Amino acid sequence: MVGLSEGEKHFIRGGIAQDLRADGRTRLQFRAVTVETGIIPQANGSARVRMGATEVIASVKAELGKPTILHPGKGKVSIYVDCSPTAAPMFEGRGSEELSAELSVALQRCLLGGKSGAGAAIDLSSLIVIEGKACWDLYIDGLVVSSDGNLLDALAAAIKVALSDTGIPKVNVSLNAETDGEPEFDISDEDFLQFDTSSVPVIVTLTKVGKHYIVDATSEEESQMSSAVSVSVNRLGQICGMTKRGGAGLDPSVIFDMISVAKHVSQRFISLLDSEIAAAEAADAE
Amino acid sequence: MEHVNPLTGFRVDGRRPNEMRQLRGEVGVVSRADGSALFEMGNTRVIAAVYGPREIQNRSQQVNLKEALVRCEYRMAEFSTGDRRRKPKGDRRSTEISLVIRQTMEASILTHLMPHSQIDIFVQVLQADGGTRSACINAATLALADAGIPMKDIVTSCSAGYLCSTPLLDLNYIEDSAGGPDVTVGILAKMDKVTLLQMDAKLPMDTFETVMELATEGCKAIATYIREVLLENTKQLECQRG
Amino acid sequence: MDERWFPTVNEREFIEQAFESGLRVDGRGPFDFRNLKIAFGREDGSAEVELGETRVMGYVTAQLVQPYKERPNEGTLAIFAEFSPMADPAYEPGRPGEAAIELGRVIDRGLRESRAVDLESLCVVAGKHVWSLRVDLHVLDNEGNLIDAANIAALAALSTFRRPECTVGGDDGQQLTIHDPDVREPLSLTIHHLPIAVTFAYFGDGNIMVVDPTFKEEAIMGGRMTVTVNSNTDVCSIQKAGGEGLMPSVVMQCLRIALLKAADITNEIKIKLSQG
Repeated sequence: MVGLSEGEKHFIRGGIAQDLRADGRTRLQFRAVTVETGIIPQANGSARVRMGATEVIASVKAELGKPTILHPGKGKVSIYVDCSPTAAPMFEGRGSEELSAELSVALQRCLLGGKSGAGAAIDLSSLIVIEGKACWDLYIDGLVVSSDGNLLDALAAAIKVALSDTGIPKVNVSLNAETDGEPEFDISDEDFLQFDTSSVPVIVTLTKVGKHYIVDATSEEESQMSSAVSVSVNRLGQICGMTKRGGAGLDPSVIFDMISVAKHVSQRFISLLDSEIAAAEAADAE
Repeated sequence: MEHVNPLTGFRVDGRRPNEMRQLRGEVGVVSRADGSALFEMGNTRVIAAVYGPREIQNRSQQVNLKEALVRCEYRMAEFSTGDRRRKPKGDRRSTEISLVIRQTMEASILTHLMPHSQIDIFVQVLQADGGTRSACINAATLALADAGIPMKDIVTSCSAGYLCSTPLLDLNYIEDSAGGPDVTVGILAKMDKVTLLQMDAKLPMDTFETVMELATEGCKAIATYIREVLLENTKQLECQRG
Repeated sequence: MDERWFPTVNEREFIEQAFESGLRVDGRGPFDFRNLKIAFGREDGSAEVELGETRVMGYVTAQLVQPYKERPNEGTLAIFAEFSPMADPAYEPGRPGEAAIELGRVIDRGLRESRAVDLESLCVVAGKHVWSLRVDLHVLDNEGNLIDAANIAALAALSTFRRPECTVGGDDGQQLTIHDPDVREPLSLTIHHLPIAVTFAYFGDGNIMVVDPTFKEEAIMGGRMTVTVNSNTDVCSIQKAGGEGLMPSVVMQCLRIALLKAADITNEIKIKLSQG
């Protein structure tokens, strides 16, 4: 990435302080979001989200597997993010490992809840086929195609839309005595169970530059940040997860303030995403 | 499996033996890159991004100071193939394809015009349905043109095979994994010279010549399409300038 | 640090001018191979090939594994190439570089995808036990044209390799016994045909072609093409990645020359095998 000169840095910081950012937005304004679903036909669900120049693709694939011994009544979900070198040359080879790991962990924390599976955004027990023997394994893959800041928000939004587009095929189980109690699965091509994504949260990242915080930072603005707090909020306004990045210390009152701002902003974002999802579904139905 | 229906002559996806899949090319899909392009051949979808010419990052890699260093990386997304396989980056197939794409594009880029610099070509496969190598080369050509990098000629590539005693143009995944021969050809369009030629499985020599000619014809058709895309893009840029 | 050898201007011009007069620096004609020597090791499945001064060693080992799900009654064959710094200071120890991977894959395509080695005869119990062959190629000295030499080494090693015989028996018919070579004679592999790799190096605008380039010729060549053919006039694999463009007619001409050369080399290999 090309470095910023002192003049440019000053311009960005000054603009944020005056509530007028370099691209004309106010501090709490998102870039234009475009959403497309069903772009990966081989996956059970997929979505592409564009926020300005940031473009990410999320795909959801479901495969039959065995549940773990600790949770025989729950399916499994794994989230994995990859940054393509097309987004930035430094992602080539193993350069993207650190960032990919960070994004994957942050998303897992927000969407999958704690170790016991409590508070997960996706109801894992809805993924079970036969208790203790067979369940659906969901593999959620995110790919960053183009990067201009705010990757975490874009990825979370893409995953939410991809999950709403996901159809889990209905399985007819037949227990065949001949195969030693190994059940036979008949995966239907026709019937699908749509996911209920109303409880899937979105992530809003607030980036603190100077004394103010902005939403949906571009990568130039991110280079000027002192710290950033990513808050995951669901439709009911509940906080599902939080991550703080950046080395600068934050006063606890500031954090509370940021959380309330995030809640406020997220309601707008969620309704925006919902309308896009509805539009996409209507387009599909035609 | 009947790859070519003996009665109608149609293939598995309804094409004729010498019919190519639907092509779609779009320039400028990654705004941060110096040049980028999306290329689709049927269900195979590939994005190429070019960063350069820019300063050499790793001095030890530079061999010839008087020429630009061309680097390339080929990556497949986890969801690109039918069964989701965690493809470890840098597995042998990806390394070989990165090498092949690099050498093919290097043959066309006028590297002596950009000494002391490097050009990075990154190709990401979003959907793989056979012919990924060819789609990557075609996308890379578009991306290099979008980046304004001087080239001798445009490089296009297409694959062909031989199943059920018929030469087939532009194999998809089902036809490719049928175990028959797979010939991938890359040509320098105007100069009509072969710059990439790869083949696997066995073929008698005369049949090979027919299959190679078919693939070369496919390359020329793709070259015509790519020229149209680039021309259209230039017209749009001209309109935007006012 | 790139330790590759770079030709001087004098050497480059000397070799190029020699080509223009139809001569090669070591006195060969443009389509002559260097002297080929094959030596077999004491163990089955090891061979060392000398092509001129290029030396490559091939070593075959086998293991019983579970077959792939899609091919339950076929064994597997994998080719691994390693370039040791002993052969050329440009090679670094450790992970194989691009050149090693390319060599491995070209030979792999020529041998495996052309079905030269019969993999179905490697099946012991369908779906459960098959033999997995692994061919390791070590480059000992790089004097040019590694692909051809390594290919011959792989073929020689596979031709002399014998796997232990195993029988299925026991109470449930599932028990597998691998017999010691002293007890029962090990079996050779079934090889249907010998795919021979012939590498062409070309110079100028693609109008000067030579076969079996030496190290120095490789350093100044404009591009290279490796063609793998067998004596039944089948083309098994082709690898031409970039480099100078070639007219399609020139490609076909090279194929025809390759067929003639392959016939010669196949004969030589067969003679050496019967002697060794």
